[in-house]
Amino acid sequence: MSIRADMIRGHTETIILAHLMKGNSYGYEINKSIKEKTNDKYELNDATLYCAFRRLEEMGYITSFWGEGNSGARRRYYSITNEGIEFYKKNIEEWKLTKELIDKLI
Amino acid sequence: MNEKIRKEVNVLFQNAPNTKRANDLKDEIISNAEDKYEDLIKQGKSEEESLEIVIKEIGNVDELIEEVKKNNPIHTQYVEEARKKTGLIVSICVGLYILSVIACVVLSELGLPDFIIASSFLSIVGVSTCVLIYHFMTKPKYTKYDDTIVEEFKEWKGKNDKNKEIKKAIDSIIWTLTVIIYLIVSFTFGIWYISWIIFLIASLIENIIKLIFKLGED
Repeated sequence: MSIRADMIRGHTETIILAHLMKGNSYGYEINKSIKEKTNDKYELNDATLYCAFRRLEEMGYITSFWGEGNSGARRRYYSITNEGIEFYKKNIEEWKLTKELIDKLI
Repeated sequence: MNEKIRKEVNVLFQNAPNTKRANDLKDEIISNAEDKYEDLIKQGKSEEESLEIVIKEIGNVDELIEEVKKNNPIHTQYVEEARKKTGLIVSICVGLYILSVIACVVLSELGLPDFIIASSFLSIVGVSTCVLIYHFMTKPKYTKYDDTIVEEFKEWKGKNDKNKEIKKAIDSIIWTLTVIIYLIVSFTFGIWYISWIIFLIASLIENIIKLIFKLGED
């Protein structure tokens, strides 16, 4: 069964932040880990991923820097900021509450 | 560096603005696409198949590019300001050209000697021509690359840009020289009725040089 994308879309940013809570990372690594954690059931498409990065960066929740890639091309790494950590915690609380409510309702 | 991936991503970015944000996004997409490609090869997929999957998954970058465009207020503001400046300068200069003709009519009606009429006409025309030439020669180029772009990419693109620069420089030289020759010849020999032909000759020379360049490139 594949998961309906619109059920998850609102949580894309929290998913990315959750990954960055464990350390700096880059686009492909994040998406790969999402795919692995969900046993290939879910994966972000590239446009969604890059848009989310831009939004998070604009809001000051993440910062980016350039590092060396495998094949000589520069790679863009992201790291979470203190504001990002706060935002992540807030989102987790909200999700817990939502989950509780929805579980009661359906 | 996988040239095929780079080429494909460049095609996707054909209509993107040439800004730091767009270039950064392009580099980011390239490095991620390369990682994905390597993984697919490791999983035993063929090169063609892997490339196809990678490019397909990059998907519609138009949406991303739109975002990049929107979020680039500095760039658009900069372009807007420069366009306004160019507009103002061109209108003032065109105004001066028209004024110079009116001045001639008025001055000759007043019965002033010919040399005064001619010199005031030429001063007005000369000043506005100089302003126009100066403005267009010093106008910044918006396609200039950002300092952050990878050196490799610069090198790869560099050749094209160099040719363009040379062509622009030649153009500027031809037209500046033409104006100088026109003024000197006309002043010295007083052959205003025929000396405008210099501009036609200059245009001819410009086109011949362009043709030579084109033939050389092919």
